[in-house]
Amino acid sequence: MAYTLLNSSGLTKGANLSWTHTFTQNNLCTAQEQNDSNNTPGTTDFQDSAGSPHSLTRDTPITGMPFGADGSSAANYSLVVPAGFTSPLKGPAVYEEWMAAEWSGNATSSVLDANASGGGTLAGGATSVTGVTINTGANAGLVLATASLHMNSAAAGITVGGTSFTDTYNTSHDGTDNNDSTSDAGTCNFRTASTASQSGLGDSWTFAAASGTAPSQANAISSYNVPAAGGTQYFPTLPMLGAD
Amino acid sequence: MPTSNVVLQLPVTNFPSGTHRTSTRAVPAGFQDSLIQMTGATTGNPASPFQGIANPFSSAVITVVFGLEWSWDGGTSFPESTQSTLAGNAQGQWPAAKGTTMTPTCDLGMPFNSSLGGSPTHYRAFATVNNGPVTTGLTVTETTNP
Repeated sequence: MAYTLLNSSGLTKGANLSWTHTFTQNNLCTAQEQNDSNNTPGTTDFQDSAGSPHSLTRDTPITGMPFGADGSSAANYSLVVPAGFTSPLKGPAVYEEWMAAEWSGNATSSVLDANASGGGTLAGGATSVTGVTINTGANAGLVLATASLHMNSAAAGITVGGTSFTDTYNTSHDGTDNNDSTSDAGTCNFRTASTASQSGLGDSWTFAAASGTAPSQANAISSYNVPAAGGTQYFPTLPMLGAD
Repeated sequence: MPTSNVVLQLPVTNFPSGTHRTSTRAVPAGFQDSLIQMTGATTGNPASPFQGIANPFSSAVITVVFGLEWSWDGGTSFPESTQSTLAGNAQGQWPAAKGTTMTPTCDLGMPFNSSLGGSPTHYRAFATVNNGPVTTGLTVTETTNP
């Protein structure tokens, strides 16, 4: 069983951004955040227009952030859409980029399966990062991987490596970004392939040679459970077929 | 290699309260993102941010919602939008990814909606002014990466 991507905000960059979209109750709403400005992802960074109590939960732990001269951070958030969840979905006031999405229904209140985050300073001349890994349970239908890269000088560029997060559903949801046209980059990736338990699941990224003062990187990965057999599930409306 | 071009514009005008929109544009192949800027909202000079500007965006009572509206039916309807909401600032400075900016800016990728057919076909820029008027323009710089 896997989730279906219904809607995504597209990669949004800059402060005080929001996405006007009507969410369906019991669907799963997720957000992926990346920034380099010493901004630790907050526990209530993503809210609907009503604010508290309708905030997405920050799933990934913040370990030792920020890193490097200016810092990098990355985080994943989720919320099973409650009644009264109102548009627009608002992101944090100060940040770099984020991507939000709505996935086919999950009426189960607790959906987080496994997650991890990490990062650190890069060695001068580094051109790749292998992100943290997780061991998923047997019911993980969605995995999000988020990366943030800060060079402090020179254009970064970034491409997603590895094979864990090849997007076969919609390439516009996988946002790769060179922020500020100078020295920052990041990606928001996802995977919805239905697989059994996996160990060591992670993602990797490559980029132009790291330079400048204390370049840094951060990454976060999270997996989410679909409802167990017998739970409420969402089925998309199928087209009516004419009689033969 | 990405290329960027100014594709949509509203000239600097005294915008009354309400919503103001650019013309509609087809989403080109290789669309990466569009940068929307409130051009002309300040002088760009921190020492005199609003000198000579008829209706300065300088009071927190004034808010502007600006961004992009997206269509999946060739530009007939625009059911979704991505945007930024800012209030006026006496110093003419607003939060940016790195520090502050005197030209309010937001940079937006393309949304996705499976029930409407996936990726949008057209878009347009908009600015909704509350408690105006506000003197500003809108400039959209589109980046494609075929």
